[in-house]
Amino acid sequence: MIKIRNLCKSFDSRVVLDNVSFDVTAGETLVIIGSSGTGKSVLLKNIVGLIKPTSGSVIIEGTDITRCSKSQLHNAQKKMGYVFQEAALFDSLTIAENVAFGLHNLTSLSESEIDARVHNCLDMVGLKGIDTRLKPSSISGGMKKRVGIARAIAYQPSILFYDEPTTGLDPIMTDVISDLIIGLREKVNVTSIVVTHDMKSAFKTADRIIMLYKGKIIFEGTSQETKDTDNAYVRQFVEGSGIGPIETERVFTKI
Amino acid sequence: MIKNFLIILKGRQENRIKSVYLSLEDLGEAVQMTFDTFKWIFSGKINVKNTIAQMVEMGYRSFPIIALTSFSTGMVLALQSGTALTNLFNEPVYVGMLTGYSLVLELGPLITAIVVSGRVGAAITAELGTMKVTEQLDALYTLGTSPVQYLAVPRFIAIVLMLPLLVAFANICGICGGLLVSISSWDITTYKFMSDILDNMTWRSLAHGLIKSVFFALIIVIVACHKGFTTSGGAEGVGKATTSSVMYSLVLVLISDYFLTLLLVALKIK
Repeated sequence: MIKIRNLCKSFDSRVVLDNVSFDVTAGETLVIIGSSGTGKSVLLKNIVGLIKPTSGSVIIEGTDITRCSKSQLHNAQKKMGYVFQEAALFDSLTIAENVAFGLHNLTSLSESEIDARVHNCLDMVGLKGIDTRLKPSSISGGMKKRVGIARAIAYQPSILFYDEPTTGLDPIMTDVISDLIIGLREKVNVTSIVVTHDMKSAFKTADRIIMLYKGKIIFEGTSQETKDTDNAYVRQFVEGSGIGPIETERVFTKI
Repeated sequence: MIKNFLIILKGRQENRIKSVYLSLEDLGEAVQMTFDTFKWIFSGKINVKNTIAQMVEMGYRSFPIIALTSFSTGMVLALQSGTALTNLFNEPVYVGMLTGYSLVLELGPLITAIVVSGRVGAAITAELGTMKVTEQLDALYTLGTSPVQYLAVPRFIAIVLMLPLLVAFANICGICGGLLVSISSWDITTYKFMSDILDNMTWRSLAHGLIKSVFFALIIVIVACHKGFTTSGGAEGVGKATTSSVMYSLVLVLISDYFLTLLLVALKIK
C-alpha cells in the first residue's frame, strides 16, 4: 500500500533522511521510533507530500506522490489523515468547525450528517459533552491534541499518520488514544504510521516498529523483537537510558 | 596573509551570490503565489463568507483611523496652503483647489495605502505567519484545501475592493478637514471652497487616485501574503516577517507611486 524507496532529504548541507526504504501493508500499524531530531517528522511530511524529498520515491496505492501532478496529489491526500504534533488546530474556527473542516471539503455529507459525525468523533477521543462552540485557545493542550485526532479521523481516511499522538496527554488518555489506533485498524482496517517516543504506546499499537537514527533505519521488527533485540541503540532507547551508544553522539556539559 | 584575504573575499562573494539567489527565489515564489491566486479567482472558487469577513476587517474597521488621518491632513493642507498663498497674493486664493487636488490625486491614495499597509498588511503577515509556524498551513493541505485559495484569495479580493472605497472616503474626510480650516482661519465660504474644487476637477482626477489605489492594494496584499506564507523561526520569525512585510510594501508603494503617476499623466488621466 505504501512503498518508500531510497528516500533522501537534505536541508542545505544537512542530511536529515539518508536512503530510507520500507513498505507498509494495508491495515498495518507501523511505529517509527527514534531520538528527537533524527528525522521522524520530516519522514512523515515527505510521505504525505508536505515536503518534497531531495531524491527517492513515495508510492501510495500505486501513485508516486513525489512525481505526480497536483490533482493526483490532491486525490492521494484525500485518503490520508494527519495528526500533528502540536494539533495545528485553526485558531479562528470553533472546535466543531475544526473537526468538520475536512468533511466539508472532502465529502458530500449533509450538514446534519456532518454534525453527527463531529460529535461521534469527539466521543471517540474522550471529549463527549465538550462545548463545541469553544475556540482552540480556550481548551487545554491535551484537549487540543484530541480535537486534532478527531479532525484527522472525521472523514474516515484509509491511511492515518500520527506525529507523536500521545505527547502531553495523561497516562489514562494515552491508553485511550492507543486503543483508538488499535480500534481503527480492527474495525475499519485503517493503515497507520505512528511517530512516537512513548514506548508503552508503541508496543501496544505496533504491528511493526522501525527505529531511525541519524536519518537511517537501524532496526526493524515486531514489538516482541524490539523488546528482545540486542541492538544497543534500540535497547538504550527502549530502556530510556542516558548511557549507551546514542549518548556518545550528544554533547553534554559534565557536572 | 594574502591567502587569508583571498579566503575572506571568496567567502563574501559566495554569500553575495547566495543572497542574490535567495532574493530571486523569493521573487519567484511571490510571482507563483500571485499567479495561483488569480487562477483561483478566475476559476470562481471563492469563499464568499471569508471574503466578506475580510472586507469587514480590512475596510469597515479601517474607517475610523482613515477618517482621522485624512481629516487632519486636509486641515494641515488648508492651513499651510492658505499661509503660503497669503504670503504670495496677500489673500488665501485657491485654497480649495490646492487642498482638493493634493488629496484626490496624491495624498488620499498614499496616506490610505500607508495606513492600510501598517494596519492590514501587518495583520495579514502576522496571522498567516503564525499559521505557518504552528503547522496550520500544513493542516490545510492535509484537509484537501489550498492555503492560497482559503487564505490569500479572500484577502486579495477584499483589499482590492475596499482600498478604493477607503480612498474615496479619505478624500471626503480630507476635504471636510480643509473646509473646516478654510472657514475658521481664512474666512472662505463653503460655496467658494467647494466651487474651487469642483470647477477645476474632472472624473479623470478622481480616476487617477482610484487607479493608483488598486495597484497599492495589490502591492500590500501580495507582499503581506507572501511574507506570511514563507515565515519560519517561531515567534521571532513572525515578528521579523511582519516588520519586513510593512517595510517592503511601504517602499514598493512609494516607488510605484512615482511611476504610476508618470504613466497616468502620460495617459492624460489627471
